[in-house]
Amino acid sequence: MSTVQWYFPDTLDEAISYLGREKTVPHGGGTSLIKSGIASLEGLVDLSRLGLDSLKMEKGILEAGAGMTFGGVAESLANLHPECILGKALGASASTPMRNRITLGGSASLFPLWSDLIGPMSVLHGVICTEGKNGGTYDLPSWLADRTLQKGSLITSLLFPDPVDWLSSYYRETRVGFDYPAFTVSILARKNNSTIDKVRIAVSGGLDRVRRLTELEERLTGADLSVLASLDIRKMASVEFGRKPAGSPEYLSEIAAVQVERGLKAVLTEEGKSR
Amino acid sequence: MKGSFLVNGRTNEWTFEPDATLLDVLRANGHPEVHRGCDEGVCGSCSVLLEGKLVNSCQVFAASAMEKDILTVAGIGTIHEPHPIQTAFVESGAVQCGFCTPAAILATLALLRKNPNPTDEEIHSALDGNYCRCTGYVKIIEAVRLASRRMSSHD
Amino acid sequence: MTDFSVVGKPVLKVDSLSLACGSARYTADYEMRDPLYLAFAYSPVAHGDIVSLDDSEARGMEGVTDVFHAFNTETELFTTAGQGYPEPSPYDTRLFNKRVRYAGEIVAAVLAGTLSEARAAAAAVKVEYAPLPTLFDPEKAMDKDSPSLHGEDGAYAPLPVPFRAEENVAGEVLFSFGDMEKGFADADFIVDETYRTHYTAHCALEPHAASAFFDEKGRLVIVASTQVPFHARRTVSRVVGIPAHMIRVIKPRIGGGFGSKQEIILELYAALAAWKYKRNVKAEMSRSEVFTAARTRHPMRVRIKTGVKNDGSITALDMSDVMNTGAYGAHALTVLSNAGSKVLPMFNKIENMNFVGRAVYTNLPIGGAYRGYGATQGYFAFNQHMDGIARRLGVDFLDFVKKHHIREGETSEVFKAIGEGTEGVSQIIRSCKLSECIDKGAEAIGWSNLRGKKIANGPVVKGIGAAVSMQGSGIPQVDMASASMKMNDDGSFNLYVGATDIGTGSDTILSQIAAETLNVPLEMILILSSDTDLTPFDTGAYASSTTYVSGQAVLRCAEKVRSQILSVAEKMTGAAPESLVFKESRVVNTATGEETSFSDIACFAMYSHDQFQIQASASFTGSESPPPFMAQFAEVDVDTETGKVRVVKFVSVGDCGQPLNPKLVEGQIEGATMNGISYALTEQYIFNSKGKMTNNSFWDYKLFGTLDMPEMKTIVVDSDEPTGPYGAKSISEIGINGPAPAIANAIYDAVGVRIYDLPLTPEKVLKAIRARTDG
Ligand SMILES: Cc1cc2nc3c(=O)[nH]c(=O)nc-3n(C[C@H](O)[C@H](O)[C@H](O)COP(=O)(O)OP(=O)(O)OC[C@H]3O[C@@H](n4cnc5c(N)ncnc54)[C@H](O)[C@@H]3O)c2cc1C
Ligand code: FES
Ligand code: FES
Repeated sequence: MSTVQWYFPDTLDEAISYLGREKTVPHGGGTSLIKSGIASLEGLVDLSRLGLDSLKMEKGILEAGAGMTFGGVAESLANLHPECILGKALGASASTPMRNRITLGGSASLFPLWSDLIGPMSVLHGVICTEGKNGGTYDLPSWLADRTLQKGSLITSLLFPDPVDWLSSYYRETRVGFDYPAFTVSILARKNNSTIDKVRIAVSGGLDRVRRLTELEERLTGADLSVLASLDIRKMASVEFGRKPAGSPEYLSEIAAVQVERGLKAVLTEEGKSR
Repeated sequence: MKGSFLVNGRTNEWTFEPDATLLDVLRANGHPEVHRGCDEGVCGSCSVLLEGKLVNSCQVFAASAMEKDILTVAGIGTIHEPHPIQTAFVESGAVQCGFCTPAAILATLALLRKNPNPTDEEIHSALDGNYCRCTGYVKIIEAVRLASRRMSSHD
Repeated sequence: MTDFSVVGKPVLKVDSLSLACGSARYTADYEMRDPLYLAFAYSPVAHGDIVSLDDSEARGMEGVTDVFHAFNTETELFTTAGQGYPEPSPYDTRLFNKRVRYAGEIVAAVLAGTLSEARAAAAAVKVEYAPLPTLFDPEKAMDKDSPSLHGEDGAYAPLPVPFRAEENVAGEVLFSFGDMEKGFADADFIVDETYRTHYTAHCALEPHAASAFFDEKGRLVIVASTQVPFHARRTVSRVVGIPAHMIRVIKPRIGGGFGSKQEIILELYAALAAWKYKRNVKAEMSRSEVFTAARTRHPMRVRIKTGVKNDGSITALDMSDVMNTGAYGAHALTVLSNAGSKVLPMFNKIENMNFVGRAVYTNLPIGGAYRGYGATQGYFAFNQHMDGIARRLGVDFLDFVKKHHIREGETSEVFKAIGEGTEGVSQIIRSCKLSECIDKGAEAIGWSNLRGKKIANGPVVKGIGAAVSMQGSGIPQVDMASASMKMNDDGSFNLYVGATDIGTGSDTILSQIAAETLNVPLEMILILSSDTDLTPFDTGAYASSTTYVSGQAVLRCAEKVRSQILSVAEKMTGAAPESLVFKESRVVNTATGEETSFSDIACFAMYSHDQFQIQASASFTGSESPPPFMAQFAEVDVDTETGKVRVVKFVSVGDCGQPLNPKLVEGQIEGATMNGISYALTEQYIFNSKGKMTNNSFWDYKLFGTLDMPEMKTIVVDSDEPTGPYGAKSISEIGINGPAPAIANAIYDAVGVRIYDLPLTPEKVLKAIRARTDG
């Protein structure tokens, strides 16, 4: 029998004061809290009245409230910026009813191994904004590096400094259409005629959770498109995996590299565009 | 704990456990039309509309749904006065064992409210979280198309 | 079909509006006063003796009424399989076994005030096991040094069928005809291959549930998600020791079965607890419990060796199956039999044939009835094997099948040789439109344009493949169905059937048969099914029997009612019987034009003269089991860099005799097909090295959803089965047989690799492609 206390604050300050209490954590969509169980918790702070559910674009910076659902983000972006990788990724995640419940805040707090948020965060250089004990802004690597940052903090929004006008591709490896991904591949690029101006590539789901393929990015940046034919992209895109129901580590590693290559070609060349 | 729930337009005061899901509470309080197929958020048999959005009620804490607008399949039509989506499912042969049907009908409603004339791709995508083991989905998709045709020709 | 008015029409499924509006009730929806709840404790070890069981902590927990287990609850040996009596499955289990035989076996049942209390207490039951050597490989089950799972416990077969516990043999089927040696000697070449199918689950969306309560007379009423209410009553009575006359089993709406609910599991524990405490009891499995505590599809190793002449004739065929029945032998013998008896008659011209089948025990989850029932496993091997032979001969697979398949007016020795574990019943095929199915399907899939063309789009290569299969329509001389009917004074009819609608639509089909026979609109038939107090007996929803067997019972019953109506009409009008004809809801005197309504006839009989109620009952047992036939075709895209197989289009063409309700027929085919596709590609049990299933949830056991649908086409050909009710045969199971082999054959067509074991996962396909290009 659970004795957990629910709080429904109307202001951030109120929310943060509750979060200071023993074993009291935020409630976003609840999808992970339900799975893991809340028997060990004493308090849940519901965030739905804090007004953290808006999406704003100002001066080229996208700010998405932590209370926004994956479905909400995907829908807004599909209208505003259909090419934005964040909308593509979140719109492809889970299923329609799950997307209507999973929040950015809950997902950024956990970044599960199957996260559809982590890849876009990585390539878009997304920033996590928090209030409370460890209030501040954190980039993804520092946030992932220090789990203790989460204690007592409330994620209020995610900031994406330069989210649009990229060529983008997002791939999620799934066994069926509605599945969590075994890995994801996020690619952003900008090109100038036949020169690759910028490229960012992230693979999630491997042993590193999310990995930027920096070596490959460096070799491609500033290069002519013809480099795609000469580089051994698959070798450079090799990422290590653990065993998953979707396949052995070797298999996942191999096909992730295939998808990196395909994604790059799709983004940068005409022939690969269809997906 | 105690709370009020607005289900199918009626306000109810219910007592429930703080860790209960919306599915638990609905089923315990006279809404067995919301089905439990997995309790994991995958099968979609428990789908309801929460503030107009399709959600899996097994993935929603009841406490977080207090005071919010909840719609189950019993709230959109009755056996004496069925909703056009319900009759479309019946006429298309989309109902076999029927266990998935209430949820699939709500998924259809959520879709058609937003998008009265969906493409097949949009239909498949709107029902992507609603398993059916009996029909192979073929007649469910047909039912959505039929409902869409009927409803848009009405209003 | 044109002269029928109700049969053959896509009339609406009689329960569908109530299901769509949420007013229909499933087992778990039944409200009862102040129930107690059951939860179970499961063995974590795959094989071991329970040395001690400490339930003291559990008993001390809040709300706990009792903890049942092997040390306080003795039962005799029985089988959970819901089959005729005595069952063809071995009696090898008890409610609680002191020796556990797979990880996930029920070791204790806790009865408590709430479900969460019961679950918490179940987790607190402490069991100490003395582990025993485990056996996970069915192909080693009969080895001398393998542990014997049931050798010491007195397990036995209640029927005189092969059962050798010491050797782990739960069932055996052997038959042979012709001269195998000569047959193989006559061959120009011999193909000898081994195929393997895997563990899968039915995944009916409604988890198993049972509720037990007492009526005002103190009788125990069990509402259960069952396909076999009558078998359930019999088994509960025998195992729990409650007199059968004190038990009533009611089947409400069922959320799918596919064979999973042809098993008596929760009913037993709910009855045990309710009877002991004379309290209402609810039991419901969670999804993960359904995966391991309920039943599975038996995995099978199928070896086929075929002797072929260069002219395409087959000189001998030897099939040898090892079926893994898991820890207990539910349906072991009969599923095994079907792998032969539903597959081998397909090529009935083979003169020399041998079948050796053994169902063996292992320390893995329990097999059971699953749509296709052994035929699915057999056809996976058969169709690939024949595809390979046709290719080797340089002939088209479809032509090859057409040359060999059984036809109208023909028989097969196999019918007589294998029945459901025992000897079979010989029969002549009276309807078979398989060649038409093949032709129609080939056209719909574009066979001649795509086959062998290996059309490539970058790394993705297209291929198409086909598979054929047959099933049965009930078990001849075994399955029995009854129906009864009474006429009301408004001219409506109550129809009572034991037949069990689990979502299949049998309430609708049977109502249609009655309505057609009595010449009334469908709504004048008020059907009530599957209640052991109210309806007559029926063996249940299995073996593709309902349309054919229960349908005949209804037809006969309705005919009796019809003749009673006629004789009352004669009496009322004084007309000669020859001049009376039936029109909708009335009898017309053709001589005078005088019309007498059914309502007047019923009232006359009831109220006026020599009063009686027009009513009748009838039973039926099939003397044969006419098989439906099907040809199925898959178009796939194989990604040669990732091994991913995408089914682009799938065509199923079936011969089920006269389709009594075309929409329901299509629905059965489509559902079975989609299940078969996901069986082939993604569904699987993953076990750890200790035999424990590690993916027992929908999170990692992947079913196909709307995003995965290929373009689906379903065609039903014109056919008429003279022995069937209004020409009908079965359709419910057959559609699941073709997808796996059709897809595997399509993969071969695309990339030239043969995958011998299911599922056809991307990694496996990629590996095979690599092996071919490297080798
Ligand atoms: C069936 C299913 C399928 C799924 N498929 C996918 C998928 O394909 N891709 C994908 O990316 N995800 C998927 N998920 C979602 C993922 O597993 C998590 O459940 C989800 O990201 C959690 O988000 P939430 O809003 O529900 O968080 P909650 O469950 O509410 O919270 C999760 C954690 O975050 C904390 N938290 C919540 N909000 C905040 C905040 N604002 N600030 C700080 N901490 C906070 C909570 O205290 C808790 O510890 C799936 C989940 C399910 C059940
Ligand atoms: S019961 Fe909620 S998704 Fe299955
Ligand atoms: S109709 Fe049975 S699950 Fe959909």
